[in-house]
Amino acid sequence: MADHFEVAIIGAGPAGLAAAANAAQHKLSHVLIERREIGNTIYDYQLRKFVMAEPGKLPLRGQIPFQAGTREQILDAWNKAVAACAINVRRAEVAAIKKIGEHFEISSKEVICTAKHVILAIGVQGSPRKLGVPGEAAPVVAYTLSDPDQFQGKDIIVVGAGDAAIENALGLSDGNNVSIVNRGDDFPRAKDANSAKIMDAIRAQKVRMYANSEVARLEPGIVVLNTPQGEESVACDHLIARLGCILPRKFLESCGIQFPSADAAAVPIVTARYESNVPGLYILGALIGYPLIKQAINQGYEVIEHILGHAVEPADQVLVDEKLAVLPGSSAQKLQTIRSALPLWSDLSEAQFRELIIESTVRVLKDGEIVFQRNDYTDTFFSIVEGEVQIEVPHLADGIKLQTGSYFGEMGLMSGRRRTATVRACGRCTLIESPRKQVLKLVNSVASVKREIDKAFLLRALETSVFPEVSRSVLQAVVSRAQYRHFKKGEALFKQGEIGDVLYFIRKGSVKVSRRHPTGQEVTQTYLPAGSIVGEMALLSEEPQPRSASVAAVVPCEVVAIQKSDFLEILKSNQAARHRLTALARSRELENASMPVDPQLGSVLDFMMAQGVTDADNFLLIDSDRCVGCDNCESACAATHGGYSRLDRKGGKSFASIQIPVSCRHCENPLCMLDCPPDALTRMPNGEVVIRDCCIGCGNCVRNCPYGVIRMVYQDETSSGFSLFSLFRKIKSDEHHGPAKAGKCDLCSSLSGGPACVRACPTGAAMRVNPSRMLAILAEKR
Amino acid sequence: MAQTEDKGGDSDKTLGRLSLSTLLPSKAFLSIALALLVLGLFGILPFVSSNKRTWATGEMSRAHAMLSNNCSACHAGDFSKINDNACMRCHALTKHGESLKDPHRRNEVFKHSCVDCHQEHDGSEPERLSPRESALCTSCHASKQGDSSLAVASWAAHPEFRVALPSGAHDFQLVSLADKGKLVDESHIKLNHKLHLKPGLRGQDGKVNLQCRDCHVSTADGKVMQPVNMEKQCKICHGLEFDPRLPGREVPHGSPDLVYKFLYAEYSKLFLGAEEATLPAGFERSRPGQESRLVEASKNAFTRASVEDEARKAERELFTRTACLLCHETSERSESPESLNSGQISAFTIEKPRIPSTWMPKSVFSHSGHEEVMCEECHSGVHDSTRSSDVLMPEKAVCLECHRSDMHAGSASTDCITCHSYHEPQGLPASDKRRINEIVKELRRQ
Amino acid sequence: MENFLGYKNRRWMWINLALVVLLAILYLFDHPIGGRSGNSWLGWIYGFLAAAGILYLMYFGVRKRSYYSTSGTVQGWLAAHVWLGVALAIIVPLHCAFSFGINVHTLAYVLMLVVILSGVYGAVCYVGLAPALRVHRGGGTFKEILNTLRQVEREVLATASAGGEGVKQLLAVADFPFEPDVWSCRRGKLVPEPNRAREAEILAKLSEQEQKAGLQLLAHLAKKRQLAIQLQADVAAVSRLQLWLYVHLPVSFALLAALATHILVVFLYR
Repeated sequence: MADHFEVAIIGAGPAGLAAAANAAQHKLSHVLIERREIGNTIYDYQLRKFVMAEPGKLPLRGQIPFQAGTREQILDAWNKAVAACAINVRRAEVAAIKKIGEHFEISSKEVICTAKHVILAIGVQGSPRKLGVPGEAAPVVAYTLSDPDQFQGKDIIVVGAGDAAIENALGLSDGNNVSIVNRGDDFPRAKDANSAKIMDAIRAQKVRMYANSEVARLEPGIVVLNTPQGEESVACDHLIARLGCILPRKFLESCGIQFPSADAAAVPIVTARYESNVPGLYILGALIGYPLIKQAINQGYEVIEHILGHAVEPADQVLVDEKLAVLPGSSAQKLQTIRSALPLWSDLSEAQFRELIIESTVRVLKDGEIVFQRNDYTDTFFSIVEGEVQIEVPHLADGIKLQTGSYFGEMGLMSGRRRTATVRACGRCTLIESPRKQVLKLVNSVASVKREIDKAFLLRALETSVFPEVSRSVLQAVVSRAQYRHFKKGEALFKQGEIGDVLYFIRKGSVKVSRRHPTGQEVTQTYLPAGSIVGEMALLSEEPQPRSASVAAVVPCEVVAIQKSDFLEILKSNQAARHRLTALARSRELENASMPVDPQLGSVLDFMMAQGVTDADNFLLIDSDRCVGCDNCESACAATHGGYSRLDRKGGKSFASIQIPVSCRHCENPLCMLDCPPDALTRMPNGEVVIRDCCIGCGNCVRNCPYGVIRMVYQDETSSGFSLFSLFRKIKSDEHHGPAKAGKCDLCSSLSGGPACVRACPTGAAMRVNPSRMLAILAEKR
Repeated sequence: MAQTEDKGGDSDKTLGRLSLSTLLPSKAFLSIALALLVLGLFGILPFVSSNKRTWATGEMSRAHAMLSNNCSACHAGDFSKINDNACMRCHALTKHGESLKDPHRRNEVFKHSCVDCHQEHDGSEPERLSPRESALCTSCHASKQGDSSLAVASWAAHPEFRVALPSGAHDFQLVSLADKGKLVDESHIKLNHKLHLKPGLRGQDGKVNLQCRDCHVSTADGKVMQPVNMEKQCKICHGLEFDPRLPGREVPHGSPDLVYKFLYAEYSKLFLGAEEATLPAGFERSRPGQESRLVEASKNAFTRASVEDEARKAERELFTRTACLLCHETSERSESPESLNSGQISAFTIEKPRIPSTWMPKSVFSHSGHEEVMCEECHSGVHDSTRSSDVLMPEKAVCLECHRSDMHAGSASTDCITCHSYHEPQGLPASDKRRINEIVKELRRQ
Repeated sequence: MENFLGYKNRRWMWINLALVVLLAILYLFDHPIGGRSGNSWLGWIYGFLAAAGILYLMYFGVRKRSYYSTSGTVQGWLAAHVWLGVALAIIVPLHCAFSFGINVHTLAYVLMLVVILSGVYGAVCYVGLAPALRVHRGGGTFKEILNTLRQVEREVLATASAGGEGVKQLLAVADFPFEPDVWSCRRGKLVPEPNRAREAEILAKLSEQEQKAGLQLLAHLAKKRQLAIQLQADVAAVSRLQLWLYVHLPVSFALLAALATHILVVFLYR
């Protein structure tokens, strides 16, 4: 007769241990079934690996101790806890869990035991993802690495871009020739510190990275990789594949657990008490999308409390309470109120929502108080819990009003755009102000959020700048039918002469407009940045009309396509809009007719667009007719920036008599801001994009910038300008102060007088200009 | 990869040779080297050695050329101006040095030193060594400096010339040529220039036309006219014969007493013991049948009294009728001849002539340089002058005809220095010349 | 001039022109006793002005390296520097009333003239040569051009070694050594004219197979020639932009030394 327990816990990872410990504490009859080691996943970490205790703010509950330390320290602590808490451990591998009546039967080859409640805490490490390429069965392939020191002087290839791959590669790099194969060119999923470390190692050439590559096949002694340059054969003694683990979906489904979709990334749905769709069967930890140890320990503790019928507050409750302190009422109430008031977040899981609240700030505003002003550089996202706000729009006296449940400030999500309007509170209102990074994370992971925000964004853009006269209802209909399209760099949106049937609203990126010269050459006329509409001229009348110019993407673009029928409807609905747009079209026609197609100017424009000038808010232009190569600009930049110039004059491309050196363009849409973990990249009130001190040196921005203007620099002493010694000072020694951080041009925002490079140029060749002046400068030079 | 690494070293070396900064010494090094070189050669070297030629701002004048190698002959080298003593070491030995006595030095207000006006190192033909500009003088003399007569702002504003005319018995007084009323030359000499300049005068050897230069002879340096000498210039026509019976025999041109003494001695010799043979013509002893009246008289009564008598007679003749009266203002003494010391004192006196030798003592005029000009061009009144009290000196207007600054082809000089000297130059005695040489030799040795 | 000399509508040119004209007029109207000299009132004033001017000119070197300074821009300072330098060439003779000789005082003037003339040459170079610098117009840095050239040389060698006797002969005729340095680049004779006749002669004698290789060789050498010419021209141009400063700067320090000596001496020996 098999043993019977109240609670059977499967998996002695942190969740399982915590549950078992709490069960033991409450004198609940329990069994902890583990097929290999206590803390098996951690046991499989490589020796002496440093384990982090994220998230730091979260309090730890229960009897199982956990703090950041080495693998050995943690395992030691846990093993001691097992003994101390008198946890009942059984070694076995569970093959099936069957619900029989009110109990569950847990069996491997034969029945192990039965239990009233079953807690599944097996984690995901058991089933690593395989390479899936010919030759993967070779003995050189491994999916784990326990002791890096076991290899010396070998050629080792690590495949993967997650924490495990990074840690393995770093661990092996001393003493071995290590390469890491990455499908992308960065490590977005890894923890910040790991990401920084591996990038450092790659830069220091301790580890070699094959970016944008994957394993094609294995052959004796070598591994063939698919790289952007073609196939490359690499000598290989060992290949360690850390491609993540697959959820043991089959096993779970065999237990009766349902998955919400066929999506490979789907996780089983559980209630707030961690109960799955099978009553009495609880799932914790990595299985339901919580890979962090601390969370798992808390869950293990909590599930037992739930089983015992104790009310238990979530571990992060104290943090939530703190955040919501400014509001009246009990926490549970408050949270519920907020949740129900904000349909945008309705698809978030409880945990996601709580995380959002913890990262946000609650703001209570008085009547008339300004939330933010037009042209401010703040980038937070606002949800209206209660009350009303007014968005000031120039042509509408009352502006646009938004009520409870709405949101605004979504433009800030588009990386650092200035606020396009002033928003004021109408009457008392309560807002939730969420940081951009947090919201972006949700936009990218919750489909409904993305959809909603995209729609709202488009609606707002059309409402405020493109079709301000048109009523919201008409626009909403258009928006709901609008399609989102992506264009690659250089791809044509439409060509001159084609019949036009769609107009594009440029959401992200910029396009160039070109016309055909009589000789047949395409000559660039101008460029249009994000926020413009293009292609509307050919849609103005019912009859088909050909395009008067060609439009192509300069950088990868995200556009919204609005069909001709929709557009005509907009025009029909509002006379003012029709008049304005028709007049605009007329004037453009006139311009096109009168302005000659100038190939020379066009080619210069092309060159400048290729250099990202269209993206720029302020870029450094060197007039080659005046530059004598004295490099005083670089000296000035270096002298005022810790000895490391943020400008590479010689590295820049040039065309005709224009040279654009490698120096920050302070883009409208800074790609560098895309992935800055500490949000160090920010825009100053005057428009300069600067890197603040909180930079951790991860190097994401260096990789993201398409113009290569950011580099890692050391914070050495800044010289005080001229001194007699500066005449004789030797080049800096290799000793550096502090770590390397990202450095780029900051428009000398902290100095009076403006950019040092411009001031230091003896011949006046260096200019920092806004692209709107570009055409004027070019005209002058001719 | 490996291949480029091999060539890497070569490329770097080649790259280095493409850049001036590797091929040439650094600009800092060159700057310091060149600066030190210049400092050494032109700063330190002259400082420590005796050859400071590169420090001189210009060539020395020819007069001072022998001092070129010895800066300390004049310079103290301690940021101070050159002391007058340095100049005086040589220049004091001349009467020039008497310039300590010149009116400028005597004036305690006057604080200029030698180098204020005399600047060296102006090359071998220096302008600055002895500047001639009027501005030098008018810078002080433009406004009245005490003596109102000294206020002269320019040559154009120069007041009319003043001549020194005899005043009283011993003094001279400066009288402006514009002051016609006071222009009387009380010389106590009678001379009629108009008469003398008439052609066809009765001269020694027949008719003669007198020229100015026949009486007025210039000094050796040609600067001024020598005083007219009676013996040299007048006696040729105006003899001093005193007795028709003694033709060719003349009294000396001296004081009246001397003349009388001479007359007395002559007659004494004649009458009291002179041999016949020695008697001059007219004084022959009487021959039988040919006795002269005089001899007769003398034979009969040659006494001392008759000597005196003759002497007095001749004296009277001279002083009241003939020679002396022609030119001098004679007057008879009040005492009777008998009461006068016989043979010693004349019965007549002559007014002592007072002829100015320096007509314009405040200036330095030189006739040399004016040789091409005829005398009457400047001394224009001479042909109409009948009285010797006429002042025939040229007025400023006369000089102005040539000495003016508005002529096209240049003019004669109009500097103050031309006529007035600053220092009082005198000739250099030979002994002093020798001393100068010794000093210079000394200075050269230093 | 739309270059740095004409900064702000040729402001510095006009200012210095006015200054020179003013000082010249004052000079002409000055007739000190004894004649004009550096020792007269006007001479002293002009002397002080000139010395101050020289110090201001030297200060440009400091300003150029004072990267924090907001006093104007280096471009403006350079325009002022150039025009004042030209003006000083005239003001100094006014100061000394054109009296020159073989002494340290005239040496100072001569050194100043050398500095000014080298500076004018430099300014002319800056204005005239800047547009010609292909190295700044995306022609690649010296390192890049040289590396590409060496790469081409390696390809040439590879082609030649793979070919036969005839190809090697072609190599001997058509190739040229290229070891550039600044001086030889300035002379501009590093790249010889190709001997087309001889090349054709040799090519004609080659077999078809060899001819292909030979033509490829010639194509590579043509590229080498092009790169060499570009590098030579650029090195020469860049050296022209830099060489004058090796005169301008050291001589200006020598000038300072001479100037200091001049001032000291004329006051020491008054």
